[in-house]
Amino acid sequence: MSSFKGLYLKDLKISAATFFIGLVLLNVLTILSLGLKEYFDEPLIPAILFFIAVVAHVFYLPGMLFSSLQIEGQSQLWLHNPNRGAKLFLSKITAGMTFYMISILVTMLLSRLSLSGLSVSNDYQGFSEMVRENLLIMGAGITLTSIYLSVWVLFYWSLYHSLKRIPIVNQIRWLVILFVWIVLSTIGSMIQNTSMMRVINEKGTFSVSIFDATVGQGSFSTEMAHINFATIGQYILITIIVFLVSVWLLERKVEV
Amino acid sequence: MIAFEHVTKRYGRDFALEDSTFSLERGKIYGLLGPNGSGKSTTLKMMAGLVFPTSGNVIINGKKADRKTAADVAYLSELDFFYPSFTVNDMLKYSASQFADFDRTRAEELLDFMKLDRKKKLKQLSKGNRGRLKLVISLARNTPVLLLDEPFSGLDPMVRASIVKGLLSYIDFEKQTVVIATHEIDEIEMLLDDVIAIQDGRILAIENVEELRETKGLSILEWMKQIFEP
Repeated sequence: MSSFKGLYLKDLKISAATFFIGLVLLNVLTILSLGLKEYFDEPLIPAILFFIAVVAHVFYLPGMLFSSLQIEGQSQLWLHNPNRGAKLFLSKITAGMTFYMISILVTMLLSRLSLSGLSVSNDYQGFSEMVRENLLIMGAGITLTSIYLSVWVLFYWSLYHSLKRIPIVNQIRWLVILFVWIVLSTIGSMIQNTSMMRVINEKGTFSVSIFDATVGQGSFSTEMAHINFATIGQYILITIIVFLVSVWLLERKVEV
Repeated sequence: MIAFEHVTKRYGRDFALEDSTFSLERGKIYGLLGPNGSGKSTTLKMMAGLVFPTSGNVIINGKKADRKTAADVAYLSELDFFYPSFTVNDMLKYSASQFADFDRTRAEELLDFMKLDRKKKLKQLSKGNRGRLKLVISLARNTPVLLLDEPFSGLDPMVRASIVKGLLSYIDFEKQTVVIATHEIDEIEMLLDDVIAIQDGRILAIENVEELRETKGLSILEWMKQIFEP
């Protein structure tokens, strides 16, 4: 068995409990949505709740990774390993993605099924069409965002455990993490506001109406989605850099 | 083989190790002895590349200790922690996949010797049996350095002596440097070539066990009493 396969199978096993909790929650949501549908006599309630569950999956992979890393942080079993830190992290991401894909596909299927055969009144036509036509594109967007957030989880976990070796901040590591988050966010928005970045962001932007939907009298989300290749490139670059910094911290600084 | 060059490790105001310089030779079994909180576990973790010195260098086989040191070092942690959903067999398979030097045949022999049920989940094992499994995993590796942190804690005193004797056949006395941090001196006294006394992060003395016996007429326990209770 290859070292990556060994790590992957281990990560699947240690995260299985979290995955099953997710499935239980999904079952609870299904029962709840059917109950609410009957109570309010509103056939669209399950579709709306499942749609919210699909969107909430953006936190699924980061949550899964955090839970898995917390288990590893309790001992030296994981870190006493001659393999590269990148391999250790990638195995966790792959295992988390495996569970994530199952969970989001099941939720998307439930969301789609809850709309099938449903005659929707004009009030909800926009929402219904959006889910029917754009669920896969939305799922892809949620998945990419989830991966982006997950890499930041790796970074902050690694940073937190790296700070253990600095006596002066050992007791206030959470505050330091908060401070680093504020600093990085500020720097990020300052960079975004530079004239050069504005020019980059303006070029190559195209708009799609995948999120354009109305529910009843109100607007569910009336804004157009703006997709920008430069922005996508920036996020890919940030993801790679944050991942590499996390690997560096894991290999050189992390102590558990 | 293993060298500490002016190594200091601090946790806050406390020293886990303070400006320590010593070296350990190939083919010897060392006992790292000291009271609780003396710095034994941190010293072993630094040898394993799991903890980094605040200052100074830890050298293993000519290279600075880091995460990759795990390729040359088998490390048994004092922590009673395993992945709870794993069976004994899962743990063996996982270890074999991570360490190229993991000898599966030897691991199977050791499992039989330790009387461990391969199909049993780790969370169902007693603390003593989890301790035995840690020994199996560490001893199944063909590494130049073997680090054992409290390897006999949790083991039934009735079987401890027989396990220690059995373990001798799995140590390569020619090639391996073995460091055992422990309180259980009685059972391992016959194993040790040298002893290292550590207290409050300071290496107090390093002595050859045979010389202690022949020239000073002291057992390790008597020597420890002299060192730690002046």
